[in-house]
Amino acid sequence: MLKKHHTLFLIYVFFLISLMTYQSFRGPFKPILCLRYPLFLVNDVIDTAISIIRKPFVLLFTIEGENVRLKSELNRLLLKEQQYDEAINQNKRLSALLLLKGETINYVSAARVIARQPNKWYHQMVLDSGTKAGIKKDMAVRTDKGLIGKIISTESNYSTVLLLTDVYSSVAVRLEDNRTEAVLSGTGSELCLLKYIPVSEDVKAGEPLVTSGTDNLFPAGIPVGRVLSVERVTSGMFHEIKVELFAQPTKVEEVIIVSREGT
Amino acid sequence: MKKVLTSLFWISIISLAMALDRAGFLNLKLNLTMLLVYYMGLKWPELKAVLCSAGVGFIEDSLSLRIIGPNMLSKCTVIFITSFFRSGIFNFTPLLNSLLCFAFTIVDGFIVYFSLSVFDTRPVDISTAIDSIMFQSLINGVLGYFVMREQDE
Repeated sequence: MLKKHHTLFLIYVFFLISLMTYQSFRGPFKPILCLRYPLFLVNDVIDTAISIIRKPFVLLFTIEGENVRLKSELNRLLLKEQQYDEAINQNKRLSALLLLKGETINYVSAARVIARQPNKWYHQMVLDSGTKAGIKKDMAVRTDKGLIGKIISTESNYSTVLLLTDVYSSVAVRLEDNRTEAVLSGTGSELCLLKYIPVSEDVKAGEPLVTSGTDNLFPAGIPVGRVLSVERVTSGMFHEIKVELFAQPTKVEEVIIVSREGT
Repeated sequence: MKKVLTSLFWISIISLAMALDRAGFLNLKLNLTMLLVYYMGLKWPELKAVLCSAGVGFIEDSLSLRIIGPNMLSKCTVIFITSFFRSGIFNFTPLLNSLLCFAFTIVDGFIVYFSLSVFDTRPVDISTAIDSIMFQSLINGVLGYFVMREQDE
């Protein structure tokens, strides 16, 4: 009885499979190919599991790569920003020099500072222009802010400047308000010393100084600096006056050279 | 007359079960016809049960607007397996009925799913199919426990 049921059931199953095969748009039923479905299923499950496991790591690597790329991009942009800032500052300086060149009658040349004396004993610097540009010894060197020194030697393509802060530097100056003449000497530091102002003269801190032109070296009227402090010495004949220069020689990058001829 | 009334009763019950199956519950389809088929397999004569289950399967296949055969195959397979349990080896307690309803619903669902996957297009993703079949099995398992107990009593 049971075998009869088995046979009938198998016939029934065969009939239904034939019926479904007949209706199927995929063509005849191929039992061997059906074995692929569990494999496909396993493959799907493995793929899904692998993708779930891999996803955080892929994300991590992607973020790490992006981080490196963004850092590189940031560095490049920061460098470019610095270049832009430098260009803007240079543009401002050169514009000021250009304006000064138009206003200065005895203009000789403009030059760029290419070197400074490395030791602290000599306050000198080297310019990238020389006799070919018309520069001669003892010409005045200034910026748009004020005087910074004089030419002490020239070659065809470069010249050396003795700065006002050097101990061997002296300039004839005049107190702009007081009109008293004096000599400005370098001290080897950033500040200079104003000499030969009698104690009878009333000098106030902050009073500006300009070149007097009486030394036969510098043209008259170039701004030099301002009085920083005045010490009244009871025992001596002259004030001890410290002067702060308008143009700090250590911060100068471009200068113009001015001759005394024609003034 | 009694046979006609009985037939009408069963037709009504089967129609109601099919309607509930199609209506579903919480966006999931039920499989109450499986419960009826299981009952037929247990209580009815084998030939009658096979014919009725084949008829139910045929109607379900027709209503699904797909190929004819998957539900017929699954329902008759359930009847065939149930026949082993009728041989007297097992004592049909409510718990066993519940477990069998649970297991047969799974068998029924997978036969239909794989038949459609092989001979027609795959109806849904395998994970969705498993979710749906397990839900149907749980419902049928619970209902099987109560319905068959009433019958036994």
